[in-house]
Amino acid sequence: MRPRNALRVEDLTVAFRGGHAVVRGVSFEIAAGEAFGLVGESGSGKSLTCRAVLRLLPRGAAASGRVTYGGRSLLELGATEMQALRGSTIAMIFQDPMTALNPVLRVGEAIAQVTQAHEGLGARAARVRAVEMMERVGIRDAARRAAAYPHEFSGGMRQRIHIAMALAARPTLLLADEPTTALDVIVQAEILRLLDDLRREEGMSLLLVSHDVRVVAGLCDRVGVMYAGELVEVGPTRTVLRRPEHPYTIGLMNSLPEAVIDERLRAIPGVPPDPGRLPPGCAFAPRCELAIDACRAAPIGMSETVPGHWSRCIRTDRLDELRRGLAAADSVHT
Amino acid sequence: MIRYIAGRLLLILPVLFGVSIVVFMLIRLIPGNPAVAILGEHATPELIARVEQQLGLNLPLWRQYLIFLGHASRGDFGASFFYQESVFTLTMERIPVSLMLITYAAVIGLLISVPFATWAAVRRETSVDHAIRLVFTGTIGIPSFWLGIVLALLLSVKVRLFPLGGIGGGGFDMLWHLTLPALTIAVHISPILMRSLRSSLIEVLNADYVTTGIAMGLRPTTLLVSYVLRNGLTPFISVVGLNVGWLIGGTIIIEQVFGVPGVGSLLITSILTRDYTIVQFVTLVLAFLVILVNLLTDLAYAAVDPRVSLQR
Amino acid sequence: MSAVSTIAPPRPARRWWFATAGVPLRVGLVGIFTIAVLAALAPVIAPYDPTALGLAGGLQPPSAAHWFGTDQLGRDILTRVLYAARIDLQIGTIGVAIPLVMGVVIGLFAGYYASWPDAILGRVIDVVTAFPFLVLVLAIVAMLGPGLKNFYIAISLVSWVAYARIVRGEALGVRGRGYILAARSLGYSDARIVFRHLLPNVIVPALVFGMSDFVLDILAGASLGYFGLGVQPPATEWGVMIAEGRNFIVTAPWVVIFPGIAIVITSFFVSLIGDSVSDIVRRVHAS
Repeated sequence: MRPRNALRVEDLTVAFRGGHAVVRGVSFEIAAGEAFGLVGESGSGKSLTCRAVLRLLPRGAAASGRVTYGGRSLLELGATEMQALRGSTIAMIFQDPMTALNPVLRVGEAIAQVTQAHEGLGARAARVRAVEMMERVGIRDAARRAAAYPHEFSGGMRQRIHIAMALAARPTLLLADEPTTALDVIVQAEILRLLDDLRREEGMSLLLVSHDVRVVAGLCDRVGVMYAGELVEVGPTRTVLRRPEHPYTIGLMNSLPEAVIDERLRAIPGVPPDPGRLPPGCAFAPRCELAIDACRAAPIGMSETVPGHWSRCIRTDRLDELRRGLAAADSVHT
Repeated sequence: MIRYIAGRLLLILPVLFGVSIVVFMLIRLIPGNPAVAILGEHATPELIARVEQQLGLNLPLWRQYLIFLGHASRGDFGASFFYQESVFTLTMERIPVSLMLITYAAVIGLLISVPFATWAAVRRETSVDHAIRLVFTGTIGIPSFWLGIVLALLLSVKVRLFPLGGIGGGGFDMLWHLTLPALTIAVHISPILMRSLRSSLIEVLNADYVTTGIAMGLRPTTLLVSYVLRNGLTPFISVVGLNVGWLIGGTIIIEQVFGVPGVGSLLITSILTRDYTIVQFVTLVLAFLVILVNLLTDLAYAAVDPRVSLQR
Repeated sequence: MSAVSTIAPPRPARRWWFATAGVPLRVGLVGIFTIAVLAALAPVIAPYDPTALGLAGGLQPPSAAHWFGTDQLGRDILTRVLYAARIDLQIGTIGVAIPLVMGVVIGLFAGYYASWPDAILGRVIDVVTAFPFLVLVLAIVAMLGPGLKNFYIAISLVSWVAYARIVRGEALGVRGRGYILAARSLGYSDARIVFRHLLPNVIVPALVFGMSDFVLDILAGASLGYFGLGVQPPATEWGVMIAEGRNFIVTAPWVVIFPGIAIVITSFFVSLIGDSVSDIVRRVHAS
């Protein structure tokens, strides 16, 4: 019996052994059937946040806080329960299709193993289901191609197979960590479309992590923006992207190529802070035009600026100045 | 598959020729008259003249080589004056014992190395890993002949667990006799095996597809077998194959130490008795053995790894 | 997953591995240095003369007078182990030095010129490595006759190939790099380019291999010594000592134990150094 429930992440912190936190107090919720996007630059902690949900952190990293799904506290589950949960209730797909699949297993076999692990199907039934899954993700001639090895497929195809594996045991939540980053633009769009279709058909929740705002924009109902290990803004995708409530998000939107005004790309000056050397107050303050002393003095909490829209900024009243150049939002399809 | 084998064989041909040239040149390294050296104490002017004519010592080098090849193709590698037998038969009848010992040693070597390599790989960078690596590093420096006699002292003399030397009767008795020698050789090669296996396993454990497997919630047995071992299998094959030279070297020494009547002890005894024709042929045989094992390793690799195309 | 790997472990962790990475290296260096010093000072610090036959009778167990005991001829074993160290360390050093120089030079030029010199070298490497190391060394010693000098000749003829293979691979990879092409366009002579520009960049793997080769050579020398094909008496060598004592191993095991331990310890220290250096090189490459 799989609960159709929300994913609730509360105050999630991820740190490496003996080191500083690279994910700091992240909290968000994903309702059943909802698609939630997590955007941010490399190093913002979005990938680790996603991995922490299934406890797939790299060696030496530990997570603390609370992550609940269907009423169960995920961070406290034992190894056997975790194994039963992964793939069947919550599934995850990864970034690089070229290395994500076991090179010595035929793809049909790889998919079949997932159903055998979770649904106790016999070998033949599992193989039939595997072929079904391959067809659903758009692989033609699936019955024959199930006997092929990963290296016989292109990147886009491999990612589809990867998705087929993840969805084979019918999970209710799918975590996607940069699933299209390694693919060509056209293939990206196909994969995103596939994810969207599958999600709607299954009524599945989706957590989509990407450094590319455009990827998240087309697919997600709500989006969270991460900076320096923290969530700085969360809200419905349309409003976050069209009318951001945080200077960083505005900067992010402005730096999109679509946002080129008078022929100059506008990058945000400066670089994100080192996790070991965070300023006492707002992490973005050193790069922010609107920063005042209050911003730098103490950590800023999340506040609900507009119902359903949260921001970690105390200068939201002054944001219109920055929003003036925000041409990009229209060109990003939401 | 046939084409793959044929292709491989073609590549080996030059090496086989090269090996035969080296072996051919060996006898000519002997200071003084090779014929005299070969005959040793049997040297009489007539015999010397006959051997000189057989080897064609008065002819240019390349013609000597052709004569050598000619003899070789007929299985004639000279005769041992010490044993009064054809070098070929002498050597060949001892090969089975050596092969048994080598295989036995390889099996024990893997039995020792695989568990420790797996343990060290799974617990990499922890104190367990460091301890295992340290112990095996220490083991590299243990001379095989010394280890042999120490083990013989402990397990054969002090504690009458194993017989001392020889190969006994057939079947299990032979295995019994060969256990100590095989164990010695196995300990001798285990550091090399352990090191290779450990780094291959670490590579596999770190692979993205293993993370995928975990993320899919596969059962631990499935993960271990289908993901880790199936990919780690290829190193298991190649590790012994690539190190067969080291394995053979150890076997030679240990055969002599334990008095096992194989090709290795034949080699050493022949060196001590200056039986040059045997030395020459045994060297050739052992080199061919290495080449053969490398070929089989390649084929096994190709059979196991689907990415290796058998078409070429 | 690559996004995760860009997050470097924070600084305290990095300092930690550096400190502990040094321990095996330091132990190895101190160890081998101590052995080398002891060996060099053998004539000065050894309690007895290595060839002095005992008046008190042979096969005495370790005691205050003879820390390692005496052998069947009454000779003090500690003294002999120290003197033998001189030979064995020499075997390791020369056994590495000569093939290293030969192999590196040949490999460098073959890799630099590529085309037919490299093709020939490739074939030669294939042929020589088809022979098990010890077998070929034994065969050559068999033909030339026993003795230390012939041992060195045999080792040199066989070992250079391993170095040539390493260096040739590196040289082939590096020869197309910018700084080499720049040097050639400046009209530098080939020799100058090879030795001053190519060599420093490809030498490290060869040196790392040299350390395990050191151990290999000592073991080979001891093995040949054990069979009477290596160092000849009256010179002492650990393998020869073990051979001389092997008949008494039941009644007087110390005769055989101590020289064996000497080999094990020496090899251990050198292996520690070799492993540590190759670890460090690997970490440098990974960053």
